[in-house]
Amino acid sequence: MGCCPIPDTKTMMLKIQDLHAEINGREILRGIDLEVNAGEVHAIMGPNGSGKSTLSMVLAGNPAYTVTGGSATLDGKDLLAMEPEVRSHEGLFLGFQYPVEIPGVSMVNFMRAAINAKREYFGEPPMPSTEFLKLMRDKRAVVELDNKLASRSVNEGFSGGEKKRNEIFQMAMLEPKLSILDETDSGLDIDALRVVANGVNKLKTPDNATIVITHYQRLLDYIRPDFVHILYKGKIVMTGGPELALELEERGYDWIKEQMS
Amino acid sequence: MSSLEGTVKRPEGGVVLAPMSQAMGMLPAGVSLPEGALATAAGNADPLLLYVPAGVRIPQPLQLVNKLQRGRADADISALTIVLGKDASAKLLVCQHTVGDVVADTKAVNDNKVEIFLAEGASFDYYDLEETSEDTVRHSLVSVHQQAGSKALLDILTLYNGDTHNECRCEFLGEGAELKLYGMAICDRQRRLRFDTHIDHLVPHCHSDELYKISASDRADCSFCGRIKVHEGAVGTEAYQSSRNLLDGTDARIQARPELEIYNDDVKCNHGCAIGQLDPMEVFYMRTRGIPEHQARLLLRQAFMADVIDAITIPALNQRLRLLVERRFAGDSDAACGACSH
Repeated sequence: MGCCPIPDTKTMMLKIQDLHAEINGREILRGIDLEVNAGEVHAIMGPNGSGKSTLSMVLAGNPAYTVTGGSATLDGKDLLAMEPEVRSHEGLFLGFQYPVEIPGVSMVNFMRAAINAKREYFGEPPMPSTEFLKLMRDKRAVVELDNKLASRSVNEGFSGGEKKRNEIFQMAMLEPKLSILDETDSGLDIDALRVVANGVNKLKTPDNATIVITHYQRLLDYIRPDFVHILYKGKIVMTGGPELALELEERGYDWIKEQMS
Repeated sequence: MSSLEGTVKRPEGGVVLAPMSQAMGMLPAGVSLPEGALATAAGNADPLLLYVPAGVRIPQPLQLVNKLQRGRADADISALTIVLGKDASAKLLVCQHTVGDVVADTKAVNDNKVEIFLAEGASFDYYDLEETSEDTVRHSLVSVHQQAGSKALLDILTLYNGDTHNECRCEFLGEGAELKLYGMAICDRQRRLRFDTHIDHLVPHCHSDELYKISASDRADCSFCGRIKVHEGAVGTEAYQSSRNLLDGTDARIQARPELEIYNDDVKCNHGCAIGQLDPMEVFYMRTRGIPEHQARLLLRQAFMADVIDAITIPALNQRLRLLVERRFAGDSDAACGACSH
């Protein structure tokens, strides 16, 4: 890490300390520590069942999970005390591994409700219709999302690639400070992967940050991480630069398991 | 006494809308009503008759407002007989409202009968929209008799009610007829609602498609009982039934009983029934996009009714019902329908 001096002006965005969480009485997260600064891209890798998706669900506030210890702050505010919708307003975005289909709710109504809820939270009036539709059009272009998809029900009948593109489209609409992308690469062919990764890269600014959760190094060819963390049995057991992902690809997760045993 | 009021003042093209006692003299020479229609007339004091002559297609939907009277000693009985001649077509919306001053500890008791006779090739869409009150007890029976090649759509929509028993009885008397049967009910508080449907496939090559949706919350008590009977010899029948129900809270009740009786082999039939709650992942997904929980639930409840609303063939009613359902789920307790004059 000595080669990359971190400037003093860095802005701490997410700070997770000793986070423990369980679902149905089973402890999944066993003391996570993680700090993410503005402008950074972090990758979290790890074998199946290590707690990657649980971490994303807990940070987004899925009520099915219970936090049993530790803390998480976003811009210094207690993230865990906020309702999921408030976390969104405060700048957190979760790109789902399995985007949820909502038959009967059109993408347009869904996004309008989301945008206007955020504006209401900040004491702003609802977005005028023409401005909203222009925003939809502009942001659709980021991930080359078809106009037809935008007029359909949320994720209903979308292909795997379309669903993931739709996640990045929503990210573009909501302009979050911190995006957690949970296995956005799963189920994508190489072309869709490129479109999705390009979308993420286009949305990157010095003021926002991204956590990419993935099994494979492949996605990291397109989205270059500043840090790579290995999650194993509910803890971050190793942190490094992009080279760690390559090493992991080469040596497999058994290497981690051996190191930890 | 019928309390039905029509908005069509001067029907044209030989269309008759009048109490049966007066209507008989207004029918064109040589026209006689189906036997069943006369039987209905005999059984009720004086039903309202809507008669559409053969070949007449009424482009505009008709609307009737049924004012259910409070404060009567006996049940308020209203009856409507609809007769469509060969290749005639019409659409009718009947709005049900309870009127009069609320009388403590009494119910407004109502009995509504609708008989529909469709001649060969006739096409008729019937909508019953109930926006009554918790002190209303209502029994509604809609019967349809379809001749060959006729098309019927029945849509029974309950937004506000007290204790309602909605029955639909449909029979196919001629080949190649089609029936679409829809129902929607939103019940909260201690409202009760019962849907009973009975479809008789008596002849070959008819098609029935049934979709009922109920949302029950608080202490509401609802049921759906749907029977489809495919009689011997009714080959080539297609009959589909779907009952989907949304249960909210621990005290609401929904019972669903799909029944298929099939007495021959050459048929296509299926039925599906589901009772469930809003999907927590759908709610969570919407919340992660910043949509507050109550609004997410509201949008999902509206979405649940979307396919029934989409099936409405009167564009103005379609739009209006979308709004009414939204308001209904949002907790608007004002059952007054602004579109109906009181």
